[in-house]
Amino acid sequence: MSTHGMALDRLAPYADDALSLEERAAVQRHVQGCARCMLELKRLLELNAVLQALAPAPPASSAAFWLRLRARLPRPASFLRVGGFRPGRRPALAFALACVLALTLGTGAFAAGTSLPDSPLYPLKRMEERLQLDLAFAPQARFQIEVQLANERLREARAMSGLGKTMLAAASLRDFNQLLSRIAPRLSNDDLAAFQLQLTALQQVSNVHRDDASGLIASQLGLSGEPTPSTAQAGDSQGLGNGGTDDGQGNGGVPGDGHAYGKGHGKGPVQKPN
Amino acid sequence: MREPAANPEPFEGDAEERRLIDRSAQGDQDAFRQLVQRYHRLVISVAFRALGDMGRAEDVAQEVFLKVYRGLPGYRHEKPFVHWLHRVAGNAVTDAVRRVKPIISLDGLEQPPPSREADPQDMVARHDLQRAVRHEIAKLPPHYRDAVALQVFAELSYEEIARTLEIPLGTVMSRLNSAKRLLRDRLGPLVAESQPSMPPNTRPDRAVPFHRGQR
Repeated sequence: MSTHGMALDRLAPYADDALSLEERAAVQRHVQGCARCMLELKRLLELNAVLQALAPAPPASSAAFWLRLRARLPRPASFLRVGGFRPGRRPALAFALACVLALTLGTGAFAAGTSLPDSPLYPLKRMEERLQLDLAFAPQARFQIEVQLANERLREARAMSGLGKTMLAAASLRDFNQLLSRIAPRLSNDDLAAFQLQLTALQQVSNVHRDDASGLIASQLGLSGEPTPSTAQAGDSQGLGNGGTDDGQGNGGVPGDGHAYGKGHGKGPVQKPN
Repeated sequence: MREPAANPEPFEGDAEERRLIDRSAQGDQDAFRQLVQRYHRLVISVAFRALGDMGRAEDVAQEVFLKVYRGLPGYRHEKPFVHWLHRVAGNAVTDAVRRVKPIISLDGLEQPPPSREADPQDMVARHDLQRAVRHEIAKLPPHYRDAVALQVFAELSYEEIARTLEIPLGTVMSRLNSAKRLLRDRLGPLVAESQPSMPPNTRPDRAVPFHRGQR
């Protein structure tokens, strides 16, 4: 390869300072005497300046992210046994469940599942959510769904306020508050803090709703100053009821029989209230 | 019932990670939670640089981890987990950039990032430029696109890109060179206009290295 060809093939690595000393010197010697390579290098440096200006991500809460992700993870083996319900034993319910699955997996349902309040599919999404809740018999399963829905309402509020649709944002936030008041007693401090973090990130939304939720979270966090390890463990064996192994397993979830047990969130006493 | 610590465990090298991966592959969601905790920031960061919007970045990051979770049972520790993760993330974000483009270009739904820039017109112009850059990267031929995505969105060094894609360092150099010259051509005058302060005789020895250090 000619010196020119060699230099032309290494201009980007040169601009990125990724060459060895010898290669770097060789390219530099050539470029200084070659107008075409000099121009090409200048163009690559301009491009680099644009690429470097891409903003880095703002800090993100891993707890909130995990809450949302956990709800979407496939559940091996116990997937269809929501709260100890066995399809084989209750044919009518099995049929109903099959219908709901057909509905949710059918046309348009995926779009509905992530649609926002300003979408025509949004009512369908809310209907699916209600069905989902109605079919979750075990308190633990209901709780998990409600956590997921609370996250979803917050996501909607954020999206709507981002688009300047403050009325819709406020509506989502109001629904979030209702959910939060139900689930707050069973949320861990981490989860509460994650919600709090997302709330404070919300801009341009009715302060009334935001302050309501913040107040609720603050009072929950305050209440949990004295963790109660005995209650957190007492519930463990009760929630597994109908042979379902899905309740207490593996996801750091709340042991599931629906009583308020402080906020151990399956982790025993909460060590760090922050 | 043994419970994991609530705080992120300190990184204990490959053995601990291997354990988390194997347990996650068997459906242990708490092990997977720890993996997510470890890599969530990395994936969000790649996605945000590619999409420029936190809501969408989080959506794509969720997809990435779902793919990883489903793929874990087939993972055989033949290559470092983080390399695999980078490839999954790189593909997912460039797919997402290609998907969202028509919507945002039609009705301008994408919000300009918050900035303290005084001149709003300048801000909008820069925003358009960044959108164009992201889209052109996503449209590159696959072998160029992978290398550029890893450099620009994942901020990997040339050596890290070579290890991630399992290709020689020289190949990374050639691909990035060709890819970025192509990118520069396609972006055309947009880039030059955005650089009024660039001195005409930019001295090559003042070149700024692109990547921001090793990870």
